[in-house]
Amino acid sequence: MEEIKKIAKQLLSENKIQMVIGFEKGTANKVRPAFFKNADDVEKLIYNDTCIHNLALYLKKDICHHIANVGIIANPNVVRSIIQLASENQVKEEKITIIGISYEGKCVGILDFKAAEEFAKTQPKGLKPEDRAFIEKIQAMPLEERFNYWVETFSTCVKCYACRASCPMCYCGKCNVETNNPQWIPVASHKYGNMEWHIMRAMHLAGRCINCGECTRACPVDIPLNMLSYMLTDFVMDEFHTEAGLSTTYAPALSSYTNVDKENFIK
Amino acid sequence: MARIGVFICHCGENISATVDCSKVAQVAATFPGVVHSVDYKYMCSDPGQTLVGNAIKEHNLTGVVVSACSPRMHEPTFRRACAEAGLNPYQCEMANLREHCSWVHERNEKTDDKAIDLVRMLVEKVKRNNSLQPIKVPVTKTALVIGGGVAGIQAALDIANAGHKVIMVEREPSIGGHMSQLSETFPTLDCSQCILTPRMVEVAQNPNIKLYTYAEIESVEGFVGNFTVKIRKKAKSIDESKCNGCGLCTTKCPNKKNPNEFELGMAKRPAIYVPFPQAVPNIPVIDKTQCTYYKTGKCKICEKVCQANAIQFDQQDEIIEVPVGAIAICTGFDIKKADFFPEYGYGKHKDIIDGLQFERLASASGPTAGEIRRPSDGQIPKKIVFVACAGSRDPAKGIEYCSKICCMYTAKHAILYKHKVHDGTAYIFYMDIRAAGKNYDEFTRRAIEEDDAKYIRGRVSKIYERDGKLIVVGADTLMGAQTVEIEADMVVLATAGVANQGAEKLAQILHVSYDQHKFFSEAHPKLKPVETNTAGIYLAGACQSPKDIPESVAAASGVAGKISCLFSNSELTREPLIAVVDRTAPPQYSSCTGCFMCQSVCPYNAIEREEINDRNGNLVKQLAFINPGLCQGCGTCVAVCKSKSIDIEGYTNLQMYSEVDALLNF
Repeated sequence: MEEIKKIAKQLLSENKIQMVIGFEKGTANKVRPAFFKNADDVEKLIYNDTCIHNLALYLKKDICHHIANVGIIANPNVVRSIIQLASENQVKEEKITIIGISYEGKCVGILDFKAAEEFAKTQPKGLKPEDRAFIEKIQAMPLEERFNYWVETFSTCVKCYACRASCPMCYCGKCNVETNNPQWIPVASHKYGNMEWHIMRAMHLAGRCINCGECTRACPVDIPLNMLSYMLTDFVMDEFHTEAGLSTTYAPALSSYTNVDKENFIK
Repeated sequence: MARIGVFICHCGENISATVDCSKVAQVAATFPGVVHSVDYKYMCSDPGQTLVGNAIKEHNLTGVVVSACSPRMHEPTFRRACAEAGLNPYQCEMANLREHCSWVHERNEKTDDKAIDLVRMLVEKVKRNNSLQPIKVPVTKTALVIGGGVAGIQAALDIANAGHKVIMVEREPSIGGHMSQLSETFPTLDCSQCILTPRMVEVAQNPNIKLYTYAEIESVEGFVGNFTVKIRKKAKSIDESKCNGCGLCTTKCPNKKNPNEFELGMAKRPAIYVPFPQAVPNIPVIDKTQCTYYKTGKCKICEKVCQANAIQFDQQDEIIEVPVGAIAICTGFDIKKADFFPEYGYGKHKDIIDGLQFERLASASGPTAGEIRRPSDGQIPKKIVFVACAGSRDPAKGIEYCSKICCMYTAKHAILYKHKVHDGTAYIFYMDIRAAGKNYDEFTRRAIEEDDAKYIRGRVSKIYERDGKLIVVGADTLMGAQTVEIEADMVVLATAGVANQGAEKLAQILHVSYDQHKFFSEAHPKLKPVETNTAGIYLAGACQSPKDIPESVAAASGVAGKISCLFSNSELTREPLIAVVDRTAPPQYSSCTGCFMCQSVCPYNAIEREEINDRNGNLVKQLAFINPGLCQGCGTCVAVCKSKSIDIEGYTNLQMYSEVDALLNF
């Protein structure tokens, strides 16, 4: 943690960056995201096991808008998010300074995009055994049962859109769910309307999600949204042999063609 | 408030025999927004169109739904009728009651209900149509003609004579194509060279035509009126500006034992050569695979004898980039060689030749100076067997189609043979004599009746050699299929005409479609025979399917007419049914997030990056911008756009949604 502070302080005092995104102590012994604009404030910066939120989210928010260069305390999820955002033309290398941290909490220093790509490859996504068991359980269900499972699960959704708000990949200025002419997704929270929203979200994240799990943590009714994302990631890997968040020149599976793409859907 | 007119067409009985048209009209009259609804026997007829026009004026219509045939058929007709009555043409939509309803269902109530649903959907759509204006794009008034055979020559001359610039690209060192190899031409027996070479010279001399020989198309980008073509001008090792065509180099070249392509291997040529004496341009080429200098680093005799210092051994391929407005594909055909036929010895008998080789034997400028002598020993053959349909019309050989020209040229060959070898006999094995064409049947009759050609209706099962003779075994199906055995001195196979080598690659460069035999496909077999599916790219001659000279020339003039029409306007008008990215007020400027996933899916490279800058020139946002000249309105970008920032004009998300809504929520 001291090393992180040192780097952040130095960058700020040398004016190489004008703000650093990290964590500070919040209420009730929790941590919260914090934005430090001068070197003295960095004393308040903390980093520990509970600092798991995906800070890459803030790179697309107004708070970063007019800042020439933003430093960001980046665990592997954040690094992957930044790489994916870069591949989608959403962040520029010259406007971001990545201070990399491994899953074990070890600071790996400042990463340019090339180094970030290498770093991301060395940090495999952790999927807990119980999560793997859950996915296998779902995948073993017959199609109808699986559909009903998700309809039931989504029926508790209150459409608070916390999943969207916490997702670094949900950066559209105007979300479809707010379009009312035509009204793609019903506003009211009901069984099939909820299903439509979550299917749309899953489709939009297919081949783009970096599996940080932020959506599930944000969900007030405990819908296992990240499990859906994991299944999609597996599916994209099986079908298209690509994975999001590893290359800044990544071609998203659903908007690129190669001549080795499977054509087995043509019957 | 929308005021929609609905016009139900009976299409004679095509629709009305299955769908109760008056009932559909009555129900449609009750749809919200519909102020006028009628049915009529032929809506596309002049009175029918007048009906639509008058209703627009009388009822002050804001939208029209014509419920008739496929919009592929008559949408332009009705859009024009609406425009003439003062309504924006894009406020007219068609409900397809014929292909989508009456032709695929039986007469019953459910069919009527479906027809009503189709009309309801289109009424809801047309309420949300925008009045669109056609898009204007500039035209480069230069045509590219690919291929310098008779079709290419005709197309180039016609376009040039209409006052437009032409760039002709020919793969071989000389223009002329297959026609320059022919001896005489059917049905008039005039000498091929005599009628073609003056036209070749005309091409070279026409100030509007720029000729690139020994050149190939490297890449084509852009769209109708605005193509950019890269031409690879292969190194001839000759400075064309210096060479005066004296031919000394070709006579002095010590390496003279190379197979002559123009004579189809029946003669030899030097390593530096002009394909044939009448070649245009009359400039030699060094065959680098055969030239002693290129192989061993020694010789350079041609360089020593050249008075004009035109030999350039270090010449490199040159890439020339040219802007053109239209492209004519005239790349011609090829024929199967004798080695395609295992039953006839895989081409290992020297005296089994193909039709094109016989043309050279019969040609006054050919290897035998016009005497019919067999390739093996130079003897004059007294018995020749011609085999028509060698490969053609034979599904077992993968060539189901008729090669079309063989019946006629085989008759010609028999006539020419008889004219040159009076005591010889020509046998012709045939399946049918296909001699449809002006003076064609008369010509084949002449072969049979005046020139004593022995026509045998049947196929040849095998040919083998016995005592220096070729034994041709066939069946005569008009004599009870009895076996016929002829001891021939020479056999001529009228082999199948096939697509030219490289046709598939060229089609892929040009983005035009081709059929399973690699012949280029026309846009419509009857009504658009010289157009391809790609606007601004046209087809003439045997690259489309086997064609004889008159047909090739007619198609080439057709292409020239089409291209001249295209060039007669300074701007092209395009349908405005293209994708557009939405724009909103600052600070958003657009709901587009600039992820450019649309860019990677666009098959037409139509999506560009537009930068929004503030007044100090700082970049605020990058947006997708769709080039209206390139966009074909396929809608793939709409499908991948997550923020739904792209819409196809005429098929907006709102319009599509309304159609589905009309179907589901009724």
